[in-house]
Formats: sequence, structure tokens, C-alpha cells
Amino acid sequence: MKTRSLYCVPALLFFLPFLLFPLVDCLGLSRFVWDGITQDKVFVGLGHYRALWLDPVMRSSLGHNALLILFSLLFQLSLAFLLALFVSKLSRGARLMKGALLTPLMLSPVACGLLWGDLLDPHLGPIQTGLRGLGILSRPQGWLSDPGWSLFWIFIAISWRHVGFHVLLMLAGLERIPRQTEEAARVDGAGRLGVTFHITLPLMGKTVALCGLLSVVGSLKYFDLVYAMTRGGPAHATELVATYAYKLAFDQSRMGYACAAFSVLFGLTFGAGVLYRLLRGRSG
Amino acid sequence: MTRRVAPVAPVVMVAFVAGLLSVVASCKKTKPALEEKTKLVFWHIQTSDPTKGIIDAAVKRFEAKHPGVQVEVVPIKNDPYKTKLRVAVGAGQAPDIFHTWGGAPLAEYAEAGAVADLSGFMDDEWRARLLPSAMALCQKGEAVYAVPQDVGVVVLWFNETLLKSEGVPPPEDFSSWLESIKYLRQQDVIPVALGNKEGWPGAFLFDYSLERMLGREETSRLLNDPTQWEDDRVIEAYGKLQTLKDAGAFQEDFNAAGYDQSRMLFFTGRSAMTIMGSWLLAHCTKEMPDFLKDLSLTRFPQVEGGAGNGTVLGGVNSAFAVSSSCQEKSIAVELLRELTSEETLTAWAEAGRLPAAFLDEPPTGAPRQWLDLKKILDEADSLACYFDQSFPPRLAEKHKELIQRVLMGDQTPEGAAKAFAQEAKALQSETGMEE
Repeated sequence: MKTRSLYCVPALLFFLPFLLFPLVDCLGLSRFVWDGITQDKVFVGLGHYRALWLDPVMRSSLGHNALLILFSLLFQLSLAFLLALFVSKLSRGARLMKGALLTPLMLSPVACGLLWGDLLDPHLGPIQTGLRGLGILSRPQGWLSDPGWSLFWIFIAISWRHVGFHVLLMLAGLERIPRQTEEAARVDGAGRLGVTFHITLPLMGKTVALCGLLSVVGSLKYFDLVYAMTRGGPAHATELVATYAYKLAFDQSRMGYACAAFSVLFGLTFGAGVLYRLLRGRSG
Repeated sequence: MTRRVAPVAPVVMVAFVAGLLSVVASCKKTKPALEEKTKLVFWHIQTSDPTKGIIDAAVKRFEAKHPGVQVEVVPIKNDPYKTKLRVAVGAGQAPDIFHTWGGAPLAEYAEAGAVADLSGFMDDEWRARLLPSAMALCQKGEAVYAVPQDVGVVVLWFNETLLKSEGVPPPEDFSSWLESIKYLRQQDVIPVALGNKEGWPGAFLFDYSLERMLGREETSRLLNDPTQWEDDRVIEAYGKLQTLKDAGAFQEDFNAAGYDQSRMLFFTGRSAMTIMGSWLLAHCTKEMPDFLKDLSLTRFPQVEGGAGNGTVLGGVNSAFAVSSSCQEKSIAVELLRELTSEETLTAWAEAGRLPAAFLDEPPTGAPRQWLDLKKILDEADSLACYFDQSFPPRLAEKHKELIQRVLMGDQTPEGAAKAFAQEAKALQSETGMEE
């Protein structure tokens, strides 16, 4: 037993100073009004959490995070599942397809954000120029500056970057399904859709759940791509909790308040993880 | 199988920890060798040439004059700089010398006791060389918290060839500007390129409009007490933004485009004008030198009957502060002297930037637009600091957000004025609590 626990030492050496300590420190700081520079801190207890509850920007940021989660679970994972089915059926070019799907993940999130910003540019970007050339658009459109649409484009950029990763996970899940089960269903007269919904999908439950958890946690913590693409703007229209907390800390000098926002974010992410464990435990 | 492997584990662990410790120990060992020389750590934000090279050359000259001193120069990109500096100062690890923009952000560090008062180190001759308007943004009373090196002024840049071909004269006042904008829009030309993703370029329009209407004294009064922001003239200034937007002044994605994108629209002839700081000249020289022949500039349009038509909006783009934790302040100040020397600042001007000092000789290699910028700066009645550099950080962010909101029609001018006053009152009560 003693030797076994020694194996944890390298992980703990990383975990304690770089994760646990900052986390505890962040929770501690969230009880103070502090600008991040001076040594003077004013104790406000849970005051910051009460203020966050009433803060309209925090509320809308949470809403945007929730929308991202919903979109990711509904559309990104469905698309990943369909793509995985498609790739698994390919007799040729499957490796090329996997490579192509994974390429966006190789780019840094900041590069992705800037790339999509340029792609969507109404005057210089290829998407709108192309659509105008085809006669589909008559005038340049400010898609990213329109608060009604900007979050949608952010979601497109995020999905473009991450869908390949989910496809790979699901392909691994598909490979674990015994062929005989599917073949037996076919012999019994199940159609293509029937096999997909009644055999493939239920047998991939664990993989789908894992993809779901990664999507939920990823959507909660999202920061870099959004910050590079829109900076959470215009006027908080694409603000997420992480971008808002960053701005509170470093643009507005409200370090204590920002720590409270980060703590809420941590609580939500942690909660998602616990919920996943509970659900998995229950499903056996 | 497991049992055989298990005894190896402690050995691996011990080796791992010992390895870590030896790395830490070796880091410590190298320290005394460096400490033979006095070491100064210097953070700045010039990450590309020519300005980066100019700073490096100044540091080399300083090191040649002070053989016992070694300067560790750390160029950091503009965006992460604020974050890094705040974390370093908050953790008590401030660099000895660091870049600052003057104004309210510097005042914040001064109030926290993080920067040294340099007034005792500066002689009259040196002080007299520095522009008083720039010095004012680095001082509080008699105390000097930074030495300014570069100033910026905001002007209306225009594509001379494009305006001529459209038969539009460079605008002088707000109403003629509005007429030109409407005409250019009909000709399918983007009248004004605006990259307002970060809010400050749009804030230039508002800041200038308010300054033009109120004049320096009245504006300062409001800036000093932003709880009084619900003022008719403030509302009128927000209204001017709306008028410009409704006239079709800007490209469609002005609130999502950054300064990079807006200047590309301007440099490639897709837009006729842009409101930007003097640094646009340095960007044009570097990125699109062919456009220099078309590039011209004039003052921001005047407002009929306004009290502040002689004001120029601008500020300190770069000043250098010495941290209060610096052990060798007098030597650090000598580096600041070299960074603001005639030789350094002449090279600075030739790169198309405006030095924060009077030069003995006008630079020979500067582009013609540099002389126009210098003239506007020299002839100005007063220099008004960008509002977001005058406000405390929290209000500065609110200011930029509200300008985005007014421009996208999400907030009325009255609503914006009210929201800003409310934020100012909230900040006041929170600061009152701290005190």
C-alpha cells in the first residue's frame, strides 16, 4: 500500500502547488475587496457572491455558457456521431478523413479565434465575398457585431475546432461494438436506422456520456477562442463566465470579485464532474 | 508481476525528486555569477522593429556607459502586458523599470506605493526637454512617477487620392463631415473605418465630441466627478455617435473588427477616412509603405460654437516607471535618461512616432505626415488625455462598453449617461468602504 501511494508523488507535486493552492487562494481572495496591487484588502465575506447573483453581466454570461452547453450536446455531438458513422463505413480514405477532422484541434484556440474573425470579415473575408459573388448575399453583413448572431458564429468556430476530437472518441466506441450484434439485428430484419438507434447508440452509451461530460466542462470553461475572436463583445453579447472574470480581474482591477466569479465557475465544473460520476455509478 | 516492479518504484520516485531538487539547486548556483554585476530588469511593450531595435540600442549605450550594470530587457506584447505587470506587482516581484501609459493606471500603482517618486533624481535641464502636457500625465502634485517617452495624438486620417477623386474636401467641421459621409456612402465607399472590438477607437469619437463642445476646463470637471455624467452635453456627445452611425459612417462589423482590420480597410482604399492615433503612421510605414503617398491627416472636425475646438485628444503611449522595490533607483533613472535622450528620440521620430520631448534638431528621415502631426500637437491649446486613461479601470471599461452599446443601438444616449453615472456612484461607495 505504501509503495502504491508513492506513485502519486509526481502527480501531487504538480497538483498541490499549481492547482490546489491557487484554488484555495482564489476561494480565500473572493471574500475580500482587493485591486490586485496593494496589500490592503477589505473583508466582505460572501458579499461578492451576493453581488454576482444580482450582476446582469454575470447572469447573461452564465446564460451564454448554458447555450453553448446546449448547442454542444445537441448539435456538436450529433454531428460527431454522424461523422463517426460515416468514417467507420468508409472503405478508403478513413485515415485521411480522421487527419482532416483533427487538424483544427492542432491549431491553438487563439489562432482559431483570429482565423474565424478574418473568415467572417464582411469586406475582406472569403465567406461573405464568396456568398456575394454567388448572389446569395446582396450586402456585407456584420455577423460578429450583431449581438443576435455573434454567439452563433462563436459556436460554429468552437464546433469546427472540437468536432474532430469527438469523432475520434466515438470511432473508438464504434470499434468496440461486436459486429455479430449488428449482423444479428440485420438478420432479424432491422433496417439501417433501426440498427443505429437500437443497437449502435445504446452500446455506445459510455462513449457518448464521456463526450457529453467533456463538452459540458469544456463549454463551461471556454475562454481563449472567444477572447481572441470577439473579446466577449460587442457589449458582453458573447461574454462567458471565464472571459468576464478575466476582465474583472485584469481590466477592471476587481481581483476579489473576479475570484468569486472564478470560484462559481469552478463550482459548476466540479458539479458537472460529480454529476457525471453519480450518473455513471447509477447506470452501472 | 506487480511485486517485481514495486521495489523499483521508490527508487524512481527518489530519483525524480532528487532530479527536481538538483534543478532547483543548480538554478540557485548560477545566481552569484550574475550578482557580480548590478542587474536591472526592464519590461517594455515594443515587440517589433523599428521601435524594439531603438530601445535595444539605447540599452546598449547605457550599458557601455555603466560597465558594472547589466540590463535584462523583457519585451512583452501589449495585450498580456497589463496582466503580467499586475500579477508581478501584486506578488511583490515587480521589474525594476517598466512601461506605463501614465494617467489613471499609473496613478493606481502610485497610490498603492508600487512606483518610486523620481522627482529627486531629475535635473531641470532634463525636465525642460520633456513635453509639459506629457509630464502632467505622469505626475501627481510635485511627485513624478514616470518619465514619458512617446506621445500620441488622435487625428482624422484620410485617403487624399480617394477623397479627391470623389470631389470631397477634407472635413473641417462636424456638419460638413456628416455631409461627406452621406455622399461617400451613396458612392459605395466606406466613409470611416472603425475597429471598435476593444472599444477604445469608438471612445475617441465620443471623447473628442465632448471635448469639442465643452472645452478642457468643463470636461476636466466632469471627468473628475463622473457621478455627474447625466449631463445634457454628455447626452449630446453620445447622440453624435448615433448620428454618425445612422448616416452610415462605419463599415458593417465596426463593433467586431479590431484596429488591425480597420486599418486594412483604410490602407487598401476601401474606406476614405479613419479616426486614429498618430501611431497609424508607423503602422503604415511598416505594413503598407506604398500607401504613404495617399495618406493625409487633419484635425478632428470642429463642433460649431464649441468651446474646445483647439484641444487635441491624446496621451502618453509610453512612459517608464521605476518600481519602489528597485534597489538601485539612481542607476535605473540613468537608464530612463538614455531612453529619452536626443539620440534615442530622434530615431523614435524617424520611425514615425511622436517623442515626448522637444528635439534640438528636427529629424531628417521622418515622413511628411510626421511634420503635420507635430504641427497639430504644437499648435494645440491643450492636450486632453484619452478618457479611458483618465478614469479608474472599472469606469474605463464601462465607458468603452457603453460606447459600443450606443453605436449598436442597444442603449440610448440618455440611458448611457445614466448607466455611467450609476457605475461611478457604485464605485464611489465601494471605494468609500475600502477607506
